[in-house]
Amino acid sequence: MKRVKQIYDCFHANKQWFFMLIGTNLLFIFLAWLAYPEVFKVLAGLMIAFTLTMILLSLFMILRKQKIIETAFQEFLLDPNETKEEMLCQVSPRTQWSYIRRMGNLIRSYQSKLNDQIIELADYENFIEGWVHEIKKPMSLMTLVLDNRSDEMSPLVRQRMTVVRDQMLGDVERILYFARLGAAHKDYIFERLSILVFCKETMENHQTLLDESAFQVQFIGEEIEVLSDCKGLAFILEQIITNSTKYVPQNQDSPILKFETVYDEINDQIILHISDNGPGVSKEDLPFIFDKGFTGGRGTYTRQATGMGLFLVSKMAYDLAIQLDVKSEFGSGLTISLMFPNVK
Amino acid sequence: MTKITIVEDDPLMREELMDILQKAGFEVAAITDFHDITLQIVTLAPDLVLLDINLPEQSGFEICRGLKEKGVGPILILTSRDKLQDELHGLGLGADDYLTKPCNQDRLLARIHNLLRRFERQPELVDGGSFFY
Repeated sequence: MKRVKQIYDCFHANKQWFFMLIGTNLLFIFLAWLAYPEVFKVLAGLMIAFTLTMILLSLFMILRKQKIIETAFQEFLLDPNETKEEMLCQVSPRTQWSYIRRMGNLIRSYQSKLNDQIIELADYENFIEGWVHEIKKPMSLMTLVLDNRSDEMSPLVRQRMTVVRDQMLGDVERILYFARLGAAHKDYIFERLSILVFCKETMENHQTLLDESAFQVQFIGEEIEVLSDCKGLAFILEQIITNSTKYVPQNQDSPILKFETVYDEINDQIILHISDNGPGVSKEDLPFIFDKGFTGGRGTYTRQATGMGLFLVSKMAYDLAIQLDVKSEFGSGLTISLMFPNVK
Repeated sequence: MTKITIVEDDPLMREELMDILQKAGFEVAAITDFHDITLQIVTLAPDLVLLDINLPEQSGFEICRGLKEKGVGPILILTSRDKLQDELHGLGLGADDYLTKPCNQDRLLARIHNLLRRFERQPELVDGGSFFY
């Protein structure tokens, strides 16, 4: 089929020459009819046979030539250097040389720009990673001072400082994960985790943040084991918790954060529903909350939001083979569901 | 009294770690001169070494290897480097535990107590000598 298409394409590309050949042939057949009517049939037959042979021969030669050009072009595309460009020119018709040279120069200039940008990006990623490690030093000291010198500061100061520290830590984690998104090698270790125990442990690390907003945390359902990466899953939970605490309204009486495990027998999935009773997300915003930079359109989210938290959650969930689902009614809370694969 | 040696280049962090460990009842010494760290630690003969990785003169990994060759241990690495390859490298060189910064006080003390308990039960791991060769 491919061969037929090649022949058709070749015929189509050179049709004017073939029609001219057929036209000339018809003229000579007409002349033969006028000059030699007694042997006209023999002459006409010979001329038609000769023309058809010439057409087939031309097609064969053109196809052969095209194959050579295609091979040279493929090599040129893989490595568009000047040598490969010259080789392509040598097998191509002279009329196309200027186009090939212009194309080569253009590709090489784009390639050079791309290489520069790759180096710049790598430098940028290294800088971000280095910066994160640097900022972790004072934050580490801050953590130890807050733990070690709690008796030297008022409870309010300690609580506020801890909240600030946790917020900064969350921001640092986000930028680190964002910088590592495109990394070729990712540090995941899949192990069996008891999901509710894991949620409780992660909650403890953010207790101050939850206390600040007077959150009531509930754990519902049976303890189920899932196979996941400890750090990655903690990151997902942290971002969801931060999201819930960030958008709790000032006048909310009793903010609730609920963790519920469910085993879905039909789809053989373990589901963790994380829900709050916060402002929720409007129906038109809901499909976009995992998009990069999305901060909401109807005031659900503050202007300070970067819209990166849930985007990073979706990326991390993809890496860990966790499906995400989100349900919300504007004004009546948000539920994010994590669907874990049931690995046996 | 259990002796702990701290190898940390940030002075404030070092002081805070010393204060925490002293309050927890340990005898604490800190390295402040970052030349020949391994030799200094061997001379101090601690029961546990709290080691940072990013140090001015010598990498914490090199120090870890040097200490293990001389049978000093246990070694708890406390660093801001959170990549798996760093952790595996550290543990591969003989570090006995790996903690990433920021780390809260309770977790740090729990890991230290845990390590000391483990090594009390198996003192031959601390004595080292030719055991590691």
